[in-house]
Amino acid sequence: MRRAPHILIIALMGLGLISCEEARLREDPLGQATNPQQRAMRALLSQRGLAALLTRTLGEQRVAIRGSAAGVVGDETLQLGPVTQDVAMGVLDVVPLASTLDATLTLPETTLLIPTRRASGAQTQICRWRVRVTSASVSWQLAISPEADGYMLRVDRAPLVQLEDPQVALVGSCADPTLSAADEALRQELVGYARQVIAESIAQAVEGDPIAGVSLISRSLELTRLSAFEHRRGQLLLTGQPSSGNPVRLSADGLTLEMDYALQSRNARCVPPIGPAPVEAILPTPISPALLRQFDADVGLSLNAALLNRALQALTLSGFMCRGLEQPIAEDPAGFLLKELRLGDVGVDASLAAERVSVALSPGGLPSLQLSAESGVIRMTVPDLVVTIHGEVFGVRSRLAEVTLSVQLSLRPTAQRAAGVLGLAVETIEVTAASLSSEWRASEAALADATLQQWARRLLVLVFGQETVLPLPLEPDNGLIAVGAQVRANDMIVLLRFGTTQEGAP
Amino acid sequence: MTRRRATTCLSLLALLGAASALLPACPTSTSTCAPACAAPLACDEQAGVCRAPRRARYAGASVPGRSARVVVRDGAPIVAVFDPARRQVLVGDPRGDAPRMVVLDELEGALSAQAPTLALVAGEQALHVVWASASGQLMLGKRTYEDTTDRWTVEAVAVEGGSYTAGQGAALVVAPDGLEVIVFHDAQAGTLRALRRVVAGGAWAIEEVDRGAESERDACPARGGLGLFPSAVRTSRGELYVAYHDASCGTLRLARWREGLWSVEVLDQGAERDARTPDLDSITGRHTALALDAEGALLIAYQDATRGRLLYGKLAQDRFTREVVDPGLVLDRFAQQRPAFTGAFNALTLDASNQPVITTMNATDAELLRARRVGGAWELTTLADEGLVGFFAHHARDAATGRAVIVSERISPGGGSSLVLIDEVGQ
Repeated sequence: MRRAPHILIIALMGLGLISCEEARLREDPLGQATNPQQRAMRALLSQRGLAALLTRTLGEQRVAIRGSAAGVVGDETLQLGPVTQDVAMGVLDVVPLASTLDATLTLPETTLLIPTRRASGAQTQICRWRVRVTSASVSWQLAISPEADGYMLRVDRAPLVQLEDPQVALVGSCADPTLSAADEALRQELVGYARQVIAESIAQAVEGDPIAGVSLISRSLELTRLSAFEHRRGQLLLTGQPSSGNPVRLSADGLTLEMDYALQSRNARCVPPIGPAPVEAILPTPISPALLRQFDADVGLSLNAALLNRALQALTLSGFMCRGLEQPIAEDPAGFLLKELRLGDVGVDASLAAERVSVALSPGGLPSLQLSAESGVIRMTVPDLVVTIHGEVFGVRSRLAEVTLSVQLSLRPTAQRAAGVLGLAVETIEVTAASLSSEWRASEAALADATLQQWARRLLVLVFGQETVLPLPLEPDNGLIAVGAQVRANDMIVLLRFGTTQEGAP
Repeated sequence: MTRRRATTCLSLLALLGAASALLPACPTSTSTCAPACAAPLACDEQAGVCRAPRRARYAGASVPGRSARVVVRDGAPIVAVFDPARRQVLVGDPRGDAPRMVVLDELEGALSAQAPTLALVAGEQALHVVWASASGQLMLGKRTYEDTTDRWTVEAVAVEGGSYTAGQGAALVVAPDGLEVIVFHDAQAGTLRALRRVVAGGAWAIEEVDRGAESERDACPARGGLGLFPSAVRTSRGELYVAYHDASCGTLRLARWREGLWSVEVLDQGAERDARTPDLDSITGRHTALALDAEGALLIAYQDATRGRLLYGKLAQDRFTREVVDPGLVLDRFAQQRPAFTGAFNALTLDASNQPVITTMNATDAELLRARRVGGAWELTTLADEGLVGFFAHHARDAATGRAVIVSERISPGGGSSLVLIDEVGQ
């Protein structure tokens, strides 16, 4: 099965990943895109998702425990710590509430090594103590904090640490004769210090930007179309920002994030000199936590139809739908054998052409998307798509045929193994209003519409393939894997799971 | 001997004598040419002189246009073409209802791209045609101007103690004394080589022009594609310039022969830098065409194959400058730009104002184009666009009369070939 040569990837491109050969990403563009789509994207992290997010934040395998040196009340010359140690990760439970998040981390048997230091004249007496617990329970509460440069998850209630059966023992010899493991006061100080550094370490680790945690784009990015052809080099500017009102909020359903996205393009000359068509604004619809549970998903990402249409238009106007002929025909990885295209079916005599041909696409108009909740597919309509077939005749790249057609594709979302992308299976291709022109036709006789449309449909099946991928509008290296999708009347929900650190981006 | 045997012997002799009187007289060598003619010449028995042998007249109904080349001599166009149906190499005046074309050769074996290499030069004393057989053997046809139009010598260009395999593309230069130099891509060695006539009508020597040994000229590791699309000019001082394509590196190269030595340089690497995009490499230097202007500057028309552009370069005082003649873009019916790959099959001459004139092919739309510089800007004209035309475009200009003759092949779907000839007076 031929893998789609990324033609459809570009045709249905989201807002993020594009293959490096086709675009250059600039992360500090001058200016921002204007006229954002309000609440164009909404994300819901379920209880499971929040636990996964915090686990990734703390460390999936090991938790960093860091504590600075602390003095001892009543003993000015004695210091406890510092501690720099990683301990095994435990089990994290989270309970989202109306506006807060309760979290409890249960660490397994844990040992901390805590040094004591006492200044004695010119010398420092150092002893090392082992504090071992059979388990440790850390509970804390988080809340959303609106701040000057965004929204943060902050510790609302300081972590409460319970250490189970703490045992204190001296490690090696102790240079301080005043200290002893049997000294209850010292023991209390060491256990208290252990409790303190665990609480502080957890608190520091779990605070952060939830938007960045889910890899949503909340900045401006500029994509420039790379091409050997100057007339294809357009640009796309994307700006994402939290929506107005209360865009980051906790509830019993989990963590909801709402984003506005603006897209602007500098037209490539390979597209008609038109601007984007107006896209009707769509109010967001809640994402059901039950849907996330159904797919064992951590995140549900709702992309509304207005955003998808706007993105498709912007990518088209930026030149990303002008495809083909970038490489010599013989080296074109998206090329075909001449016989595969069956040009003879439409009366084109290409007997003088070499055995490999290339196909080029250019849009004569703006494509559009419709979402079908009944059938669960995305319908993409491309009017006036110009498909040209080029072959080598006497070593010269010659156009063998050109067909202009209107096409509608039905695409069904599918799960993928690679991070950051959603699969799209091409279910149907319908061709209407096809017209063919070719100097290589042996006869001037008109072709029957049915013959031409059938041939054109077959051509598009070859060109588009049976499956492609839709890069998701997320930051690079997001590690989120699509495990399913649901097409609704006004949006598409992509269900995602946090991958392990071993699962990379496509 | 016994009497009986002697009698038998005498009877036999008589019988033989009688029989011989009845038999017709055996032919004896009585050529009027003395001494005998050495190949490739043949004896003109009527005149008693050694001449080039007569070539068969072309029997086709119309003149084909494959691999077309043209020169203008004495006000008349002379073309060399290949008939793909009959597999014949033809030369002559193609005009009129009864074209005077003769057959120089009939090629056997599989031909590369069904279009053999052809080169045609009108020297000071003779017409010279070079072509390559399917096996890579170069052939040279020659007709002096004193001879009739159907008398051509044809010889295989052979080097004693050497061998070669001519690939696609060869350039022919003829010195005023009639000595030929053929520069060609050797398909087996993957290099650019030259065959030089050492003695008039006699031996040839073979030279290495560019073996690609100096790899520091280009950064690409692969070799073997040197010398495609060669074109050559000779200066009045006897220096030779050869422009050609390096397919391994996708560059335009120039070889220079001066004082018995060849030197090579890269003129165009094909890389471009744009403030908004990274370096973009392109394959350039195909379909080269060379000319010398009145000041002795070297002019080169060639193709940027990646972008389908026609480029024009000038080498003067060791400085090479380049400009885009045709960017290879047209507006379609949706008012958007689309590629129109141009710059194939280039030919370059100078008009009466010492300005460059280039004929070329727009391969996307199968059109024959001309570009000429007028007032500092390039003016593009479509010379022919009916059907599939523009393949093997070539042109020649008669400096004395200003007459320009442009030729090209027109292909019919199904493989039919016909010659398109445009005769322009005073252009």
